[in-house]
Amino acid sequence: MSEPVLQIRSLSVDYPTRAGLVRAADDVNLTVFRGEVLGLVGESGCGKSTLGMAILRLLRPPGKIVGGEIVFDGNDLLKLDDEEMRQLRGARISMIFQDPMTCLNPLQRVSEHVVETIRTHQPEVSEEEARKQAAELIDRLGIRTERMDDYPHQLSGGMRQRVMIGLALALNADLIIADEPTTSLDVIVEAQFLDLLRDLQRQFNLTIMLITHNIGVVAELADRVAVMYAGKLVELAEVFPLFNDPLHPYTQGLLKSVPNIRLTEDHLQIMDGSPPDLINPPPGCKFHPRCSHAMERCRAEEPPLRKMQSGRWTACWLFE
Amino acid sequence: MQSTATIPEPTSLLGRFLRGRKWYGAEWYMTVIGGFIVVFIVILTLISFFTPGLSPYNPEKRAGEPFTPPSWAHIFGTDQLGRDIFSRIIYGAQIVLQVALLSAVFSLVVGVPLGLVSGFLGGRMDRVLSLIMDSIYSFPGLILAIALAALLGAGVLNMSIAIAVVYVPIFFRLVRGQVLSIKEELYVEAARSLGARGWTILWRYIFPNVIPSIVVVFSLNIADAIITEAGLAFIGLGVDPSRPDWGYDIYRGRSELVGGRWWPVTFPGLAIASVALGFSMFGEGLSEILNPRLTES
Repeated sequence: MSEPVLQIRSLSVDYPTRAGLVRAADDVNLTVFRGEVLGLVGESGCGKSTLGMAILRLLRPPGKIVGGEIVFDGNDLLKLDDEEMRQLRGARISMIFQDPMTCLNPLQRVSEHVVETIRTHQPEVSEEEARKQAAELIDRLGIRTERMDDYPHQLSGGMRQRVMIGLALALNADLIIADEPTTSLDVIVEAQFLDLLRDLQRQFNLTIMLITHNIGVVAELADRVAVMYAGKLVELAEVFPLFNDPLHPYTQGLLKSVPNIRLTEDHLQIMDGSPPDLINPPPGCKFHPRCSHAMERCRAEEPPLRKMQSGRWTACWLFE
Repeated sequence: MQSTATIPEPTSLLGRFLRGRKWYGAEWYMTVIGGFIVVFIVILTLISFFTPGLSPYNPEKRAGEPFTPPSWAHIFGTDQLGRDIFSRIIYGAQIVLQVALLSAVFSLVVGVPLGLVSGFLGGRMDRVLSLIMDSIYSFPGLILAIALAALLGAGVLNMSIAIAVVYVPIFFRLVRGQVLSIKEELYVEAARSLGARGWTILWRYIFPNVIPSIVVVFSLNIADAIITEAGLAFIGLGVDPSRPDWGYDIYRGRSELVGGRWWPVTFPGLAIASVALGFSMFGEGLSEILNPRLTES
């Protein structure tokens, strides 16, 4: 494996709510290596987006990082001051958001977005030079350069999402966090978008943390997959072993619930139950109320994420 | 990368504005009619300000028999002192417009920055400012203006200030509310995630999205201020009784209605109504046009 770009160590994020404390990320340990695509999957509300926003330190209030470290390039991001963190965002770590319809300023042209992003981080670059770079970037994304002075509403959803990638790539960030980048695109645009993302990833050896609930997207792009459930990482493996032989019962259930055109309908299994209430999480393993293999121990003790002999990681007492 | 990429020239402001726009629709009629009235009254005021002999008669001197009904010699008739009402309306526009424009500018200049900062930063300052603005807002506007005008005394500037104070909270609340909602937009979050500075976000992401509402409220405010000015003049808090002023002319003409002499009241009243309407229509129409999201075909 190559060098790590980002190391998350025992990260915990709390959302104090009126009803009680929600621990959206609980003691998460995760390393992202240079040049890889790490898929982070899980159901809605499992804390995967929280994790992404926590890395950029842009959690919405009342969300708060209550413990752990996020080591990026040898520095703990949680110890940087606001200005240092701001300089890092966009330049070293950037983000692609879920909804391309609303993530561009409706009153700013596409070119202005790119020029502004470049000039924010490289004030020495002249307006014209930045505009030239913007044109190249837009061309590279497969958008005709005569569209660069359009307003976001004049572009299609797919084009806007490509512009978002462009913004994330504009300064050759070391890490790109893509939070559900294809969720609001239709399947054809999604396929084109994934192709583009893969091409760019190979071409520039990008490091991408791909947050999604879409197993298909992960299978398409990711090198490794981390599965998250109720704020905890429950399994971490290379993409093929994980798909062929999921270890954690939750991962098994997740994969079974993906429709497959080659199988008949009765093979599609929907997991029983629903994700736990994070204000009053179940004791022991948080998955045990929905787990068909649940044992006495699962109800009492929480399994840690441990490395298997195969080099995979899982958090389940079945593999003790 | 590919050097074949052609870089289009940035279009001019006018080019941006005209490109891909439809030239029909209610907003255009409103803007054109309102704009016509606004431009007409502004030009009229400017000309009359610099050329004293513009009107058919001296507006401050007796020009004929008192209470001459509208005729070819006095198209709007004369008032109780025999002054030509048409001439008084032409020169009366000066005070109304000066006061209305000045007061709207004052309240914009104070209310908008306060609203932007207050909404964006939040915290204790926001709470204190909101409390102050809400207290002013909860006061009946005309009564507050009367009290302030009485306190400050006569004069264009004093009247403008008195009216401006009443309208500051309108700008403040409007802008603050919009900032609060735009602050939560995904594109603001996206800008943050790309490392945009706080003031860049406020200036380039939030402020431009507030402008359309400011323009509407500004224009509506002028319309409102025209009426408030007339109201102050009506009760004698105007600039100077001898100078022509629409509101004060209505005050003096009101008692003549019973005698069937309708013209001293009607024409200044129509002037106030049409100019106020012109500014409202212009503002409403412009707000529809200025917003590029609405021009999507």
